[in-house]
Amino acid sequence: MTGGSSEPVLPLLGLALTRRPPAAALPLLVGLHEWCLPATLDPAAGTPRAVLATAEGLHLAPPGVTVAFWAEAADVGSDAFKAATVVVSDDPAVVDAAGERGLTAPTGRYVGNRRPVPPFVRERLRRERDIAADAMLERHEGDGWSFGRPGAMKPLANDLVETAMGAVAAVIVTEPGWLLRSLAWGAPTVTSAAAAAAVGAIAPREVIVGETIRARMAAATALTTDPLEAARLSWAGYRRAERMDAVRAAMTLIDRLGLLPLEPPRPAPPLPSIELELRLLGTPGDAHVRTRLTEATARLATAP
Amino acid sequence: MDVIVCGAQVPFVRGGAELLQENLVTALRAEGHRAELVRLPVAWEKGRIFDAALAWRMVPLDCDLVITTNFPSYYAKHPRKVSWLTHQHRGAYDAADATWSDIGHDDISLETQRLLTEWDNRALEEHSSIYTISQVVTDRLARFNGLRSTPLYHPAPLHDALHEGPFGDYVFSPTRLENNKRPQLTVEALAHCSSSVRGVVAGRGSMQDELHAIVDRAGLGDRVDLAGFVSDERLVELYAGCLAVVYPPADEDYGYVTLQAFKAGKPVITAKDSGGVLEWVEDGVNGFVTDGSPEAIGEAIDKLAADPSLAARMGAAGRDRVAGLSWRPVVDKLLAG
Repeated sequence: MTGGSSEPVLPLLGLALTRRPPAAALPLLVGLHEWCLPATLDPAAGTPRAVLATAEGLHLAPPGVTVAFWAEAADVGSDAFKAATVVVSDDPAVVDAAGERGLTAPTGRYVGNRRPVPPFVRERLRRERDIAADAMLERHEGDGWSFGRPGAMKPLANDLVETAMGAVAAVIVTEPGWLLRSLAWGAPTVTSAAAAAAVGAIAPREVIVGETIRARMAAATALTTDPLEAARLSWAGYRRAERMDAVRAAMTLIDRLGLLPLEPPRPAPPLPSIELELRLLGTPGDAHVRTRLTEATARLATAP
Repeated sequence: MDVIVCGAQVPFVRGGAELLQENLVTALRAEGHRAELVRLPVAWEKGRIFDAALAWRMVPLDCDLVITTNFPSYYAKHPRKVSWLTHQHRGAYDAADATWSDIGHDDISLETQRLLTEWDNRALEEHSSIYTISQVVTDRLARFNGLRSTPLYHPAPLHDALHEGPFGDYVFSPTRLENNKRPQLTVEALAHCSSSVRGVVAGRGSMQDELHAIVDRAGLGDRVDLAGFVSDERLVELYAGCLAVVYPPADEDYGYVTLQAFKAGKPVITAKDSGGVLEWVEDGVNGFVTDGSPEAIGEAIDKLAADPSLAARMGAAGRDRVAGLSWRPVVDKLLAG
């Protein structure tokens, strides 16, 4: 292969939504832009590699093209629902009904640069920083945060809250937005039933629920001495935050549809397929493995 | 069914994981399936820890089912894969503070552990089922990764060849001569024995010279045979003729030596921190679980030397313990996904 741009050619994702995209789909479509070209179906633009369609627009999809079906409750069980490669919805019941093919279309971006820190790494981090082994973080009703050992917690400045979320043994929080941020850090988290319900978190699988301040403190204190429960909650909670993240959902949709450039003009690192693998695995932009990958493929990119 | 077994190997190093992978392929073929073993090399130091994992993501595996085993083979991508986990990257998890691990408490080490956990969790969750080789491995996966798994026990190599024999005048310790196997404990224990029991230590490894030095210092040259590598045939006969097997490794994943000793009808002397070995050895029933000191191990050897009938009773109990092990249920479970 000679000449051409070093930029990969983005594959076309046809949109057959018959009307303006559902509002809940917009964050997902924005997230897809990095990986593909979402565009209304247009014969002049060529055949799309896959189609995202609602029930009303499905008839517009070219035959044989992989379909991601934007489904609502009324669509469950329909032929289109059964045939779709991926079923996308903002309705949790619809996603559940689709089983492994289901994909939540979230409206938020709670993961971002937050990374899940597992409890055993938190424990090592606290040991290294001379932080108490049972240090925790609590958001007060209303506003403000406390940090420290149970029974000896002190106020914590707001700009240190997220740093603490990546290090403490447990977090107590009852505000849905902060709950998702805590889960995105992989913090074993105690919350209220109302906050859990607001973000779709399942107790006791993804969060621990307590209905009083005292009950939540007792549950968080118990977590500081239960590494098995803390590890289980940390990962399950992170997965909940991830399911509520539109960028993450976009990458998952790309992966499930196989929507990567088949023949990039030049395998210039990072290769799109490897880049997607790295991101799906959760690899930060400055991770050492990226340097290793660049070193390994650099000569391939410049070969004649 | 076409099955690919995936395994990682440090080139020129061979141990239990390699045997397990090969024996699984043999068992799959015996059940009428086409099975192949695919291996990629792996490096364990933190600067290259993710290299092989990423490579596995790109390996084309055209088959009906993939069975992954050790780190990082479970990064293989396939629509239908089952894990039978022998171990993760122990130096980054349970053995992070071991002298041989290059993981410290510095920021790079902590980020390596964090990212590895995230990668591992994602790769392992892709499997339709996660089985492990022992409760020890299952417990580690729960403690460090928060993931559930199910132990699936299998017979040790030479299971069908091993047989009972007379209770001789030596204890046997077949093991790789590496720090985590603690072969020096067997030698040092003999120095604390009041009986004249001999010791045979079979295996190779980086501690070979150190063991010779310990033998010389303790004046045990006439009682300890550092036999080096022995053939399978010789191994079977050494098991058959010994008084007992001494096997006190540090937090072993599974421990073929225990199962082989029991199949040969011999009691096992181990340590309370020997990991998977403790899933099989019951103190006072089919062996001794000591505190791991040379004195305590020596005392256990003396008890058996003084009462060979005790060794016979314990050996019989051990043989009963492994009588039900076979490959068929392992293969059935893995193929069912």
